[in-house]
Amino acid sequence: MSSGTCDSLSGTLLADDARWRRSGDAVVLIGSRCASCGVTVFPAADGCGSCGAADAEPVELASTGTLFGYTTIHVASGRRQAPYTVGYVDFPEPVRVFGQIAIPAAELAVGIPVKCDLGVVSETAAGDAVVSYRFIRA
Amino acid sequence: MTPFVRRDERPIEGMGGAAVRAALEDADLGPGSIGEAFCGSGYGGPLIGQRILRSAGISGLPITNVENACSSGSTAFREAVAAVASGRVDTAIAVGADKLSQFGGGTLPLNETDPEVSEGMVMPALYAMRAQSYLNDTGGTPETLAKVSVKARAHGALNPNAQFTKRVTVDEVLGARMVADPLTLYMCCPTGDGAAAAIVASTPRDGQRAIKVAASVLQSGHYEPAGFSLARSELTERTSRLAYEMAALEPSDVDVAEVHDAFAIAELMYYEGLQFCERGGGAEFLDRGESSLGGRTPVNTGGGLLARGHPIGATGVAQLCEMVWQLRGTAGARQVDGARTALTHCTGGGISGMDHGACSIHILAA
Repeated sequence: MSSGTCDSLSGTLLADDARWRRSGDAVVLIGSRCASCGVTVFPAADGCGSCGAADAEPVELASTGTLFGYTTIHVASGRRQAPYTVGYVDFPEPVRVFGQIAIPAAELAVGIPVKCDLGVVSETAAGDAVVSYRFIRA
Repeated sequence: MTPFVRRDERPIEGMGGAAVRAALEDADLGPGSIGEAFCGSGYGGPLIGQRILRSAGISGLPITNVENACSSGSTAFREAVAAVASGRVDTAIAVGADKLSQFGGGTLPLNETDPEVSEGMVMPALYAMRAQSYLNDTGGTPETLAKVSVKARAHGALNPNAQFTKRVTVDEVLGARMVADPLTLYMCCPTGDGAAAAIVASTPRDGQRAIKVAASVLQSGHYEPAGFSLARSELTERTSRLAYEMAALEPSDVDVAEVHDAFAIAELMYYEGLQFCERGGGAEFLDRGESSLGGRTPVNTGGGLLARGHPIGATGVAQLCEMVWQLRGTAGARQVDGARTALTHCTGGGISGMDHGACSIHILAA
């Protein structure tokens, strides 16, 4: 995604979130790594779900991951308009991240490299657009 | 159990109370004979057990309310078994109830604080990805999935308590509207209302052959932030191993089973996870008719979640009702001849980083 698109989003929407950081044109996801056992999770968590320690430190995930699985949902869910596509992306830390996918159906395949941008993924009860990370072709 | 329906006009208290009264009548017991009660419900709200049991004339006793997503009812039953096995009480009741009609249809509401749910995860999406992964690994097609629904509806057609009692064809299943690719509407369990109850006692009722609880196991998903296989269920494999060990039985000893087929793909995965067939052999097991009435291990004789319906908290207890009827030889047109050993498997719960939230398996022996 171009930074121009990000700027237009940030003009009206809450584009800031502890789960990501914009770095030029790129959007980098932020998880945490447990200082005791080394397990990485996304989003960041205070307590380690693997060993129980509470000394996790923020960690930026690699800029690209690999699409592990995906599906297109054809029924409206909450305030998300159908159809929308979701999937799991494996990052090398290793950590698996779930999110919406903005890739044309013809290009979708398990194993393709993906990166993140920001986009509207749903709306609030008041009708405001909700922005989050999405997966796009790397 | 109450007939599972798209919408039961009674409030959940009345529906649950009817299931409790039916169980008392079946056991020839009065309300005062219940020593302890456990109520499983996903969406029934605070004090659901007290509200339901009061409508059946039961109050004042210890009541514990259990929420464990799709495994709420089977978890409540496990607690009833434990209460009796410990000697704390002679008789305990487990009741499960939910009214999903309160949500007006659509996918099951999940906890929005979950990081996957907040990004759009719904249960059909998770199972759709499981289906794609499974079909990819085994070389199967959506037709493989459709056959699960055809079998479920065929069994449901024999069950007057089922939400769907009409048979469907493979073409009708494949032609139904898409919910989450490759799962069509008929490959997804319906939403609906229902309640079921079961009584556990330390001694059998006079003149009736005892049905023993040979295994009662509950496990939860391991947290795996780096991901896990979507084509198999480690949680079901682990829980069933513990159940077979507790019952000192082999998978081949199971005569009839109720399996958590919330979506068509789930049943194929669980044939394998419960070791009814080898890994990757689920489709062939189904194709050979092994899991149909008349087969080696009939699965979901009551129609399963796909046809009987899935009012979350009621499901686990309804599975137990179906297996008790099979072991008593009173399952009517869907009776499995000579069934002596029955298994119920209830699992689910959409939670990020885990195969599933909970899995509960019971083995009953006549």
